[in-house]
Amino acid sequence: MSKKIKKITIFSGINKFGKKENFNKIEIKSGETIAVVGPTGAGKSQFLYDLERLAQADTKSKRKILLNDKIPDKEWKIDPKKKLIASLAQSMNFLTDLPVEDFLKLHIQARGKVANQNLIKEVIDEANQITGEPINLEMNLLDLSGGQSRALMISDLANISISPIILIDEIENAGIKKEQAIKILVEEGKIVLIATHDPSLALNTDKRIVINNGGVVKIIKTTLKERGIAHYLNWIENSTLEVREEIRQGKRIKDIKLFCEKI
Amino acid sequence: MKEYKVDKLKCAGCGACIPICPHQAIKFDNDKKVIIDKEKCRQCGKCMEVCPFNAIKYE
Repeated sequence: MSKKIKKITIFSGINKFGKKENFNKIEIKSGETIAVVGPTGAGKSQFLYDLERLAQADTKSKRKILLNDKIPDKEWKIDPKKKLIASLAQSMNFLTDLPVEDFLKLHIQARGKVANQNLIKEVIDEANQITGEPINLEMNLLDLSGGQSRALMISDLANISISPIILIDEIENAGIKKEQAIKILVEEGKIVLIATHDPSLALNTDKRIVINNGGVVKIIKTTLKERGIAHYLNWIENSTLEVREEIRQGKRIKDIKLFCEKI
Repeated sequence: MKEYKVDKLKCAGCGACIPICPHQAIKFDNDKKVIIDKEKCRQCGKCMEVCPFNAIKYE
């Protein structure tokens, strides 16, 4: 059973010059998606790290994290089985020499669920909605491309993982349909935080937290217009992905579909 | 009476307005642009707000 996290509260700390951050507290509710943006080296990863550590003014930023308005139990921090927070980093890869089906069965069982064919099929189907290169159950994990691995990890997080909070560090450049990936995670009621430089991803969230010099400088609520712009950028990117896939398969490109058939 | 209309020259057919409409009043036309069903439209204006190309007008 997934721990019910209705709210994360982040109390401000200090930036790298020791100055108080430009907010008092940030509240994030279940089902919300938050982008963490800012220049390279600004402190985006530190922000995610503070959340992962459930910091209590014991990291260099001095931020404090509350879950459901309370200081989190120590055991949530120590016990990996509680799996409150799941992280996905750019460089992550499967290192297991197993067919996709066997891996999913093992993971489902490890999470105390029944590894029936329906659940396995759902994980694969949703992963295939995210990647343009179809994954099947017989493939070996080691043979998956970067995009296929990412897609499978995200679908696995949405459907099998019990963690209510998902931290993602940079999913761009992986050759996946990002809008769809976020949709799948949010539909499962997860809180998703993404550190990103990607415009379509940053605008496809509820809020974005702007970080500079190690501290939060601004919190921006996404407007409807920005959502529309994100949708349009995603549409172009998905068309690009389709062309990319056809090139990979050795096909000749005759036209580009400049029409959004799937909503 | 004023109503929401699509400027077909500006509409790129991206469909951002379709899922935003609370009354399912917007769909694709045969020319791959969107049209607003006047019967279903309750004039909430969300489509005009979300359109990246300002292709929806209220006039």
